[in-house]
Amino acid sequence: MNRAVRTGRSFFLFMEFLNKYSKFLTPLFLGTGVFLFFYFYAPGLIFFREQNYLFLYTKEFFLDHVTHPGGMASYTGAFLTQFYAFTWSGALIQAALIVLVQQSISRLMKQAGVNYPYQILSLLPALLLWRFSCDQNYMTGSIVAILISLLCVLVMVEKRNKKGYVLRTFFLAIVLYMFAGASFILFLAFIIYFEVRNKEKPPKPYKLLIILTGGLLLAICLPLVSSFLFPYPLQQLYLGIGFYRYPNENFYFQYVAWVVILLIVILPARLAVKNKLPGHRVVYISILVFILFCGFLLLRKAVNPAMEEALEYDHMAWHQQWDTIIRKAGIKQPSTSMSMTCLNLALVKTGQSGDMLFNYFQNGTEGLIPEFGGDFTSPLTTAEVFFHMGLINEAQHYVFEAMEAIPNHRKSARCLKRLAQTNLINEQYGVAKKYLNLLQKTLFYRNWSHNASLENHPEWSILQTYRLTEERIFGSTNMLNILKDLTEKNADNKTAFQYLMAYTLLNKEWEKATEFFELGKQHYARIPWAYQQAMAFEWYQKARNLNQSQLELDQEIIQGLTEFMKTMSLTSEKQARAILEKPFGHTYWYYLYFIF
Amino acid sequence: MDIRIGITFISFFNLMKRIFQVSIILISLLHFTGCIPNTSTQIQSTAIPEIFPDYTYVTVPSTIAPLNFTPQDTSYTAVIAEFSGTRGNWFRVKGRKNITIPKNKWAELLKANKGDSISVSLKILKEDKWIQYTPFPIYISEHSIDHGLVYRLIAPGYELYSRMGIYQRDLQSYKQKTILVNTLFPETCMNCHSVNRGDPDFFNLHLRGSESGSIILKDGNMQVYDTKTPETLSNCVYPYWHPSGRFIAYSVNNTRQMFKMDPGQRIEVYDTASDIVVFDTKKNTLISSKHLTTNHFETFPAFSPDGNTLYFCVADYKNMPHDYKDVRYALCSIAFDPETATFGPKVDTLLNAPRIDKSLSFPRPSYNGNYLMFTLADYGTFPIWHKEADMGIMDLRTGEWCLMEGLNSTDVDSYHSWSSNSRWIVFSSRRGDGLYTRLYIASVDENGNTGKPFLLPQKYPATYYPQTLYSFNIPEFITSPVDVDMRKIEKKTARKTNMQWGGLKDNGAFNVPSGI
Repeated sequence: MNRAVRTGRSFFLFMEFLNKYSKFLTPLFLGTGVFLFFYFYAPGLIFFREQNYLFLYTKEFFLDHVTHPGGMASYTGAFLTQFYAFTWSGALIQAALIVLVQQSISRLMKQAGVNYPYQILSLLPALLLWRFSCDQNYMTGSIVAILISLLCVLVMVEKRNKKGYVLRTFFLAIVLYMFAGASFILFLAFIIYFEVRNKEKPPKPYKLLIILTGGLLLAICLPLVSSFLFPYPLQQLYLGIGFYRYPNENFYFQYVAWVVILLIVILPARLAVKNKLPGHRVVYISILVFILFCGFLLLRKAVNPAMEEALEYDHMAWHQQWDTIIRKAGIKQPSTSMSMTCLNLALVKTGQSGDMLFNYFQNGTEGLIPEFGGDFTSPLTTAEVFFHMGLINEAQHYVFEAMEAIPNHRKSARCLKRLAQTNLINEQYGVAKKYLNLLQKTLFYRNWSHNASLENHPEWSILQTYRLTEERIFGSTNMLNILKDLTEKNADNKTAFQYLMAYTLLNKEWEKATEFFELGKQHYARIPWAYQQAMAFEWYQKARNLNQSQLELDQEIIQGLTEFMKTMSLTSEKQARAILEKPFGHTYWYYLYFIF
Repeated sequence: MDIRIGITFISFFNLMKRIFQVSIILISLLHFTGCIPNTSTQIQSTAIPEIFPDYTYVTVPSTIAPLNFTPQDTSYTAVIAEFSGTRGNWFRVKGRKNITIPKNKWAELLKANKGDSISVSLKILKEDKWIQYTPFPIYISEHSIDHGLVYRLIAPGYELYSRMGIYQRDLQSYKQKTILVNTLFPETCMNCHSVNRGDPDFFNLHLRGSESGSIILKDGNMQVYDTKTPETLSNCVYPYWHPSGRFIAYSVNNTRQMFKMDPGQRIEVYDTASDIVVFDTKKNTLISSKHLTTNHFETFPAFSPDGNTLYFCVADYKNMPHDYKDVRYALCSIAFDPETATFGPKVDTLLNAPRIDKSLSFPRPSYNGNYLMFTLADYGTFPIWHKEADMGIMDLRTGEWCLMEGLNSTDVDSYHSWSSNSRWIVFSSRRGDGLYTRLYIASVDENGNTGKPFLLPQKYPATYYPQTLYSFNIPEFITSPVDVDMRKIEKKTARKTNMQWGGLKDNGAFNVPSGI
C-alpha cells in the first residue's frame, strides 16, 4: 500500500514537473524521440532517402526544381536530404523539422488564444509527420512545405493589424504557392480564421467578404492558372507536386495531417480551462496520456521490418561491411531475398561461402542472384553481386535501370558513382567523365570523384581482367554458363567460383558439384563443408558407397550423409523432416530434400 | 484605401530603384576586379586551336545562334576571340573561360558575310603569355535553314525511363520549349514525333503507358487514335507523312531487346516481326499491300517527295533472337497512288545492303527528290547501339551511293533528317562520349557534298553537354514553331478514336518503272 502510494506520488510529481517545464521539455522529448527512432530503429530509411535524391550545386538543378509550384520546398528538401548520407545527421534533420513544425503549431495555438494545457495537442500533427516519415516515399520537401506555410502564417498573423495587410497577404499567397505548392491552403485557411477571430480589430463585413472570396479564388484559381504554365496534371497542381515519390499515386493520408493542424488550432481555442490548478494539471496529463497513446498506435508498426532490414543490409553491402553483415545475420536470420543476397555476397567476399552457405536459410537462387525486379531498389543489390564478380556490363545495366526507375525522375549519387566505376573499367572514359563531373557538383562525393581512376583503385583493374570480353547475350536463364565461363576465364576470380558453386547447389544441380569444384579447387587447402556435402551426395547417388569415393571427404561428412540417407529411407518424408531438422538443418542435404 | 495602395506601390518602387542602383555598383566592381590582365608578351602558334565544340571550318546558316565555345586546353586564365569577315564589322569577345558571343553582333556579321566566310582569331593567356593561334574560318552558307528542330530528350537507357519529353528548339537562339513532357503523363513513354516536310501543322506523336494513343495534328484539328487493330501486329510506329498530308506511313513491329555482355556494348534491339501500313486520315483506315505484310521484316517507311513512291527497308525472315546477327535490311521501294490509295504491283530493290554484309535503316529522301540518306550498320534494325553505324547517301537520279565520309565518325552516326529546302541535314551522333547522343547539323550542296558538321549550339556548351543526362533523339526540322496545346492532349487521350483496318490495297494494273 505504501509502495503504491509512493509510486503514485512520484508519478504525480513527475507530471507536475512536466507540466511546469513543458515549454522546453515537449520539443526536447519529441526531438530526442524522433532522433533516436531513426538513428537506432530505422536508419535504413535515412540511407534510402539520400540514395534516391541526388543534390547538385548547379544552376540547372536549382532551376529544374523551382520552375514549378512547390519547387522551392522540394529544393530545400533535396538540400537537406544530401545530409542523410550520415545516419546521425539524417536523424537530426528529421527531428529538427518535426520539432519546428510542432513549435510553429504551438505558437499558432497561442496566437489563437488556445489555453495553455491544450497547446500540447501540437504534438499530434508532429506524431503524424513522424509516422509519415516512416514511409520511405514521403518526401522531406513535404514537411518543409508545411513548415514554410506555417511560418508565413505566423509572420502575417503578427502583422495583421498593420497597413496593407490584405494586399501583402494576397501577394504572399501567390509566392507561397510557388514556394510551397498546395500546402499554401493551410496558409489561406489560417489567415481567414485569424481574420474572422480578430478581436483586436474585428473586420468589417465587407472586408471579411473580400478575404473569404479572395482566399477561395486563390485556392481554386492559382492551380488552375498554373496548369497553363506548368506541365503537370491538374490534380497534382491542386494536391501538391513532389510531396510523394510516386507522382501517379496520391498519398492522401498526408492531408489528414493538414486537417489535424487546422482543427487543433481552431477547436481548442473555444475550450476554456480554469486557470486555477488542478484544472490545468488534469487537462494536461489527460491530453499527454492521449497523445502518448496515439503515438504508440501510430508508430508501433510504422516501419516495415522486412523493408528496413533489406535497406540496412543493402547499405552495408554497398559500403562493403562484410563482417558486420555476417554478424547481423548471426543474430537474426535475414528474412528477405535482398537481405539474403547481401549476406551471400558477404560470405563470398570473406571466402566463407563454401563452408557457411547452409548455416543460413537459403531460398534458392533468388537470394543469391535475384532476377531483375524493375524497381529502383532491388536491382542495386544485384548489381553489387555482378560488380564484384566481374560482370561489369550487367552491373552497369542494373544500376542504370534502377536510377531510371526512380519514380519522381530524380537521380542517385550511388548510381552515378557505380556508373562512373563501370565505365572506367570498361574504358568508356567519356561517359565516366560525365558522371564524375556531376559528382564533383555534390558535397559528399566530390572528393571521391576527383580520385576516381584505375590508377588509384587497383581493385578495378583486377575486375577488368575478370570481364568476359567475347560478344554474347546476357540472360538469367543462362546464368550457370556465365558463371562457369567467368570462373574459367580467370583462375583468380574466386568470387565467380564461389557464386558458381553456390548457384549450382542452390539450384539443386548437385550432379555438377564435383566437376565445377575442379575449376576452383586451387583456392582451398581443404574442400569446404557445403561443397563436400554436395559432392558426397553426388558420389552417393552414383556409387552408393561413400567409402570408395575418390574425393577427400571428411569422415564427419561420410557419417552424416550415411545417417541422413538412412533416416530418409526408413521414415516418411514428414517424419524425416522433423527428425532431421535439428542435426541436419544446416546441411545441403536438408536443403535438397526439404527446402525450396 | 486607394492612398494606402498607392503608398505601398511607391514604397515598392523606391525599394526596387535602390536595389537596382546597388546592383549596378556591384556589377561594376565585379567587372573591374574581373578585368583581363594586360600583357604584351605573345607567342604565335601555327596550330588551329582545339575548341569545344569544334566549330573550326564548319559551314553554318547565316541565322544560326552564336557558336559559343571553350578552348580545350583548360590551363589558361583568359581567352580572347576576334570575329571578322570580308564584309561587315568585326568584334572581339573576351572571357575568363568561355567565349560567349553577343547575339546581335554575331547576327550582323553573319548576315553581312552570307555566302562567304568569317575568320575567328583566338588567343589564350597561359602563364602570363598570350598564345595566338592560327585563325580559322567559319563558312556562311547562302542557303537558309528552317526555323528550328523537334526532338526527344531521353536517357540512353535500357528498358525503363524516367523523365522524357518532346521539345522544340529555335535555331536562331538557344530557346528550347516543351511540347510535351511526361511529368504531365506520369509513367508514359512518348515517341515517334513526326512533321510533314518540316511543316508542324502536320504533327504526329505516339504515347505509350498509363496514357496511350497516337496524336495526329492536321489542319488545326487534333485527334488521338488507338492505332492497334486486330489485323496489325502492334501500335503504329516510325511515322512518315505523305507530302499531301493525307496519308501517314507507319511500321508495326514486335520489338524486343537483349543485353550484351561484352565491354563497350550494351543493347541489341530487334524485331521478331514487322510490317508496313499506311493510315488514310481521310477515311480513318489503315491500308497496306501484300508486299508490305509478308513474313519478312518490313520497316522504316518513307514517302518520296512527289508522293508516288514508298521507300522502305526489308530483311529476310530470321529466327529471332537466335539469328540476330544475320538480319540485314535492304532498301526497297514500291509505287503508291495517292489518288486511289493503292500500291504498285512490285517491289524494287534500290540498295541490296545484305549483299555487302550491311543493314540499312532510316531511308530519308531529300525533299527536292535528288538524294536519299540512310544509315548502314553491320546488322540489325536499331543502329543507335552500333558503334560502326554510319550514314550514306544515294543519288536517286543515278542510283549511285556512297558513305558520307565528311560526316561520319568512329562512333555511332545514325538518325538524320532533311531541312525543307534540302540544303541542310541534322543527324544524331555519339561521337562526343560514346553514349549520350548529340545533334549535328551539316550543309549539303547540289552535288550531295556536305560541309563539316557542327554541334547544335548551346549558350554554355562546355557545361551543358558534359552535364546533361539526356540524349537527343529523332531530330526533325520544323519550318515554324509547333503549336500543340498539351492540355488538349490530356483531354483528348481520354477519348481515343479507333483506327480501322482498310485491307490490302494492291493495284495490279499499275506500271512502275523498275528500280536499280
